[in-house]
Amino acid sequence: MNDQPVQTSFRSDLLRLLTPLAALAAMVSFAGREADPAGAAESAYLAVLATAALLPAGFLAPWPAFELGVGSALATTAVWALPPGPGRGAAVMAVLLATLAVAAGRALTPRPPLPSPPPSLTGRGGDDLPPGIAVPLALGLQALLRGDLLLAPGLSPRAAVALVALPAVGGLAASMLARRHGAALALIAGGVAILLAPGFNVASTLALVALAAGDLLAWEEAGWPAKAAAGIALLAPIAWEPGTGIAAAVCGLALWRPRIALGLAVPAAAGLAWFHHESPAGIGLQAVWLPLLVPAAALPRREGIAAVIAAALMAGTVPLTPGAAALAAPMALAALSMRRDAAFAVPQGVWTGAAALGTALLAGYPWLREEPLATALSLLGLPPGPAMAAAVAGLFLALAAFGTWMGRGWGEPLRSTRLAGLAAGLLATALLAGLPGAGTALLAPGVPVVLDAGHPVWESRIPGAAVGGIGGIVVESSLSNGAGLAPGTPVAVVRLRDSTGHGSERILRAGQDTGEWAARRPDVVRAGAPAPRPWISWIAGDFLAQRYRARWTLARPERAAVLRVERAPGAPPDLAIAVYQVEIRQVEILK
Amino acid sequence: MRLRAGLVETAAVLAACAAAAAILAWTLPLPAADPFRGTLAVLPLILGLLREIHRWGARSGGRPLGAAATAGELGALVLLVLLVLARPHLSLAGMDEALAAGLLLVLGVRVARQTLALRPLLGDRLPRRPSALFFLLPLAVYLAILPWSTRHRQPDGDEPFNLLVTHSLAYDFDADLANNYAHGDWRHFMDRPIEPQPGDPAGPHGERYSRHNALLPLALAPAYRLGGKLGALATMALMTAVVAWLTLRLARHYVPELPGESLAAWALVAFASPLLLYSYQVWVEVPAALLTAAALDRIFSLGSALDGRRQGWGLKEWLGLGLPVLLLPLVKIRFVLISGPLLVLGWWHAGIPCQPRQPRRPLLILAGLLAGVAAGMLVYNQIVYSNPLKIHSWQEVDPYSYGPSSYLLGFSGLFFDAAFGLFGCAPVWLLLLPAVLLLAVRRDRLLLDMAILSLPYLVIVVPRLEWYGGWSPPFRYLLIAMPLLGVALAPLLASGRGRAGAQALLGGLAALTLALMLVWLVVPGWTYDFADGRTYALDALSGRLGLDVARFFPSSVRPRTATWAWPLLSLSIVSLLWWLPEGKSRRPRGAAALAGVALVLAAAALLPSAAARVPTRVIELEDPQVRKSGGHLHPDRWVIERTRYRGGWVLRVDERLEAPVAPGGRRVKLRLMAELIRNQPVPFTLDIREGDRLLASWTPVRERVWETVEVGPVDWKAGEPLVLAAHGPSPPGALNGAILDRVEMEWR
Repeated sequence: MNDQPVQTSFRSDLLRLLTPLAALAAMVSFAGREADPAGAAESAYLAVLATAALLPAGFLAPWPAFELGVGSALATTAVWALPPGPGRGAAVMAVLLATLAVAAGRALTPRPPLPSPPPSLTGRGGDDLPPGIAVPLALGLQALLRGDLLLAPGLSPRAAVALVALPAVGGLAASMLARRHGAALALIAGGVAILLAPGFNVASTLALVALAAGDLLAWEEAGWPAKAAAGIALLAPIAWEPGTGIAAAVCGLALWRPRIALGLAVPAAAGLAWFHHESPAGIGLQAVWLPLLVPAAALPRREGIAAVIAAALMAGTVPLTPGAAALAAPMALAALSMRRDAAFAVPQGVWTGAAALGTALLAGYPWLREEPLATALSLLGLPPGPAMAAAVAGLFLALAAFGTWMGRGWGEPLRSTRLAGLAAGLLATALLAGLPGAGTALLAPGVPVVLDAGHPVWESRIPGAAVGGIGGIVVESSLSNGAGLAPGTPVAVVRLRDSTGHGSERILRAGQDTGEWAARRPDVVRAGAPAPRPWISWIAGDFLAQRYRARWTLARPERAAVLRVERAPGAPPDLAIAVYQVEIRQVEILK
Repeated sequence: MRLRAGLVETAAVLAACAAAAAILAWTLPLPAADPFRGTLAVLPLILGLLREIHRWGARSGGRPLGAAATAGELGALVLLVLLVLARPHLSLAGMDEALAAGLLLVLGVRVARQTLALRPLLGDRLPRRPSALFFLLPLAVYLAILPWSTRHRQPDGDEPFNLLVTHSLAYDFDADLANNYAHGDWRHFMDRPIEPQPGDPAGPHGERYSRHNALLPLALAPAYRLGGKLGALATMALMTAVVAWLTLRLARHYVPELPGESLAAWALVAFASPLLLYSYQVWVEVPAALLTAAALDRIFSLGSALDGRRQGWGLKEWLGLGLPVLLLPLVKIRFVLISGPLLVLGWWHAGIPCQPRQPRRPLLILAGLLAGVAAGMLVYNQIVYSNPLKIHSWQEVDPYSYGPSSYLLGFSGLFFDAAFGLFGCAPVWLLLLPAVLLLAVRRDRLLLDMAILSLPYLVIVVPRLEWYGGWSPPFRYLLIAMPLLGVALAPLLASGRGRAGAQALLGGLAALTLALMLVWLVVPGWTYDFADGRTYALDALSGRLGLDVARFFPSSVRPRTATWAWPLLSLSIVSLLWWLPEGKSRRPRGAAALAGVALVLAAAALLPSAAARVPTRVIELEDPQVRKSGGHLHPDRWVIERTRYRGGWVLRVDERLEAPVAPGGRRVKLRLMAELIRNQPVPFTLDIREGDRLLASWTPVRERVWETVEVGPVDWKAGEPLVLAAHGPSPPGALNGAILDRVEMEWR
């Protein structure tokens, strides 16, 4: 923990409260007078989002909470100064994430890299994660990961529970786990637990509660009322969702009685597999998330082996109800069972932190990905799956081996720093390698071209550098008045032409390559119009508008001088196609 | 031996970084025109410089930087670089600016931490020669922002002409620009063609010379020859970094016992605007500031026996004082008004009682030489330009040609004008107000020195229209005083900065300055305001809100209530806040600073509401909150001596304006200032409406004569805009129209 005690006088608490509220006032006041209605709606949303993230960041930050002041000023500046649109939203999200990260970083450092000597499973872990840190951190993360909940007008009780109660309970559970396992492992466990949902939903929160309950049962100093309550909490998930709850309860039990838990895990896994799964391949694919997210569990502590086996069994067989968050308990259990040595904990911390960061960015406005973790992981160049799990585990073990070797002569802080740098460098290299090849954008960002019955064609000369060896085309677009179109209806033709007029063409189809911009507007949703997954969303008044991305990889590289987009001849007269970007890529690797 | 090994290591690191930068410049997967290409290419060099500054700082007794924070900085940097590389595929408007701001913030965090870590190097008493790290750290920052800034802003104002002279000196070894204009040599440093300026002298054989002095171009020419435009700009960055370092040198003469406060003042001078904005531009004010600071340092050494060493007049003095005094007029003739006072200060300090008496004869010789240089320049100008003052007249520089209001408006504008003033570009400099009061109360000699140095210069510069921008970044004409202004803050910072009010001020003003600095650096062109009473930043805000926000900020071009209210209010409020007595209750450390940030944010919250509610008294019709269906600005933005014209909007037949109005009563009397432009012999009518309701019609007869059209008093319905609609016959050819200057609204 930070050596300097956090001052919690009334004045400091008041200022932690007042500063984000002043930022809220500045942004809301701006939104209230903004001439562009869409911009005003977005400003108002960003104001609420910023306040929801800055308030917990303020209470998380060690005093004097300078990052709160800077973060509030920067978020306000971004809202006031940047042009409305998804770019501004991304900038505000980045400011909020950075503010929370700095506050968390300052609250959690300086700390010894790992407890030394390693605590026993029956003893106290040494460094704590007090609720004063864990709860604000959880609240801040929840605001960023589930920012979509703040879009609804007025705060419904359900949204309030999701935004406040669940993360608060989850944070308290992580804090309890830290008492025995140390803050680092508790943070990693909490991190992997909320990655899949993303954020604190009922499944991930109950998973952490079950683990904390199991952990509390192992406390020698806990009295019987506490243990009785813990027992109830351990079983509570079963009442909520039997399949997921059994897995959570078994995982929680593993922190108290690992061998009994393992004994129970085998029949539980068999039962769950029999009841919920159709094929062993599906079980294997599901279990792959364990080495993917917690590669450190591949070589657990001696006393954690049983727990990791139980976690693996549960990870493979737990029914994904209500979603991937059902995996939270096995993932967190595996994280708590890993070795505490820096060789393992540091790379795992970097990996979990990077995954959390990527997930938060992609879950937030304007990306709003439904599966942000999978999208974030796929930025590394491979889709999440066995191949990626093998690559991650292999690299992790190599790093751990290197870290262990470093432990023979290097000082602990230096070893941790270098290991963290190496892990981060590897991640950065993988991300760099995963970037799409060089591309040429044919439109300026934020200035779409609209094709309608009056203006059915747009064409652009392809700049000289991109003329030869075109490997792919990316088109970002959306439709107006296109909600009623049957999926697969051609709406536009994208043609590549060389200087002689020859070339090739691709069809842009509704429901596959593009879709209605107002697909999330209540009346369109009620009409049941299908739309592909959006690429970017933005606030258009009281709903989220969206645009879509079509990517075509050319069978063989082509040469072209002109790209032309034509409205499909048979398209309905009132249909308009907004083309936001057309990108020509010279290489075949399309992301 | 250790020192040599350290230097070798530094050289090796920097060489490796330079090589990496060169390789990146060739291999970066970004188009040549990408705005981040230069920044990413120079990144290894900046990282290497910062690493070495940290290493040498720690080695020289500075505090080492925390590994966790460094890791955080590096992590953020890596993430930002990845986003920079990925952004062509994301296609988000405004992302470039946001990423640039992100990179700047990472740099800012590093610089703030490094500055604090260097504090022990100053010891308990400012050293005679501050560490070179106080030069290298600003230099690293200036070099880091250079590629982005130059990519986003073409040379402007005097810059291209100075660069063209530099080009001619570097390649032709002469100052004749005729061939350079003919060959379009401006292409080497900008995209926009330039032509000879009015007043440029011509030779008997068709030579074209620049009216700008050749001394600065001469200094830039070697680097320009080696590195082109970037080489010249890097030299400017080098000079600016020396100015920053000299600030610390000067501080030891005034406040040697305040090293911490001097460090803060140094950081403010080096890393805040305006000096930072000048680091990547070609302005004579930077070398002038350098020469002035160097001369002052030598002058103060004359009058003191620092470190027990008696200072005498020798080669150091000739070089340190004589050279700057003689070079200043050669940089720009108006700096003779700095050279003269420097000699006076030299005379004064050479004979300070109780100090070893210094020989004054060299000063007399210098005065003679300066008079010779000045006279020589006047004669030369008379021969070449047929005017001893080049393009200026004696009347322009005659102090009696201007009334007191011109001096008042000019002087307050230098500091308060939202477009060109010091406080508008970096509000943290508002601390100068209590600082000057404190110096006055203490009868500090710094105030006297500042007055002696700058008063003659100010008397000539302040009342003239020239200082209103001159297509330069803010505070150009007093940039030479920045080091002294910085030092002036040190006593104030030492006097009660722990008080709640002072901390609130520091926190609030620092947050505001940080936000503005990000804007100025990310959009460098926004510091080039035109002398039309508007600013890019406030225009953008007014346009976004559709409200007149600018009226709440001072402008000396458009004098209004704010022009006078801000100086009075800020002087009293800032001073009172600074010395606000402390209560007895204990408060948490830093609480007041956070409260200051909250107060600034709360004040920002009030601004849009105030713009919507405070009654409209004047509508400047060319402003962005006025919606126009057509027409154009008048006069053109680039017109010379813009302040001599009324700014207006030309409205032609069948065009209309719609201005938001915040009512201040039920009835209003309108006064429209307008001028008819008749291009056709047909009638022209301008309707004045409250929304759709016609209030009056103006059918002017006299052409090109400013008229005041009075309407009312009439009833005004809240929420209705003022509409001006032009109509009339529109035969083929140019249409009739009117220049609409402003509407004054008198509420009843």
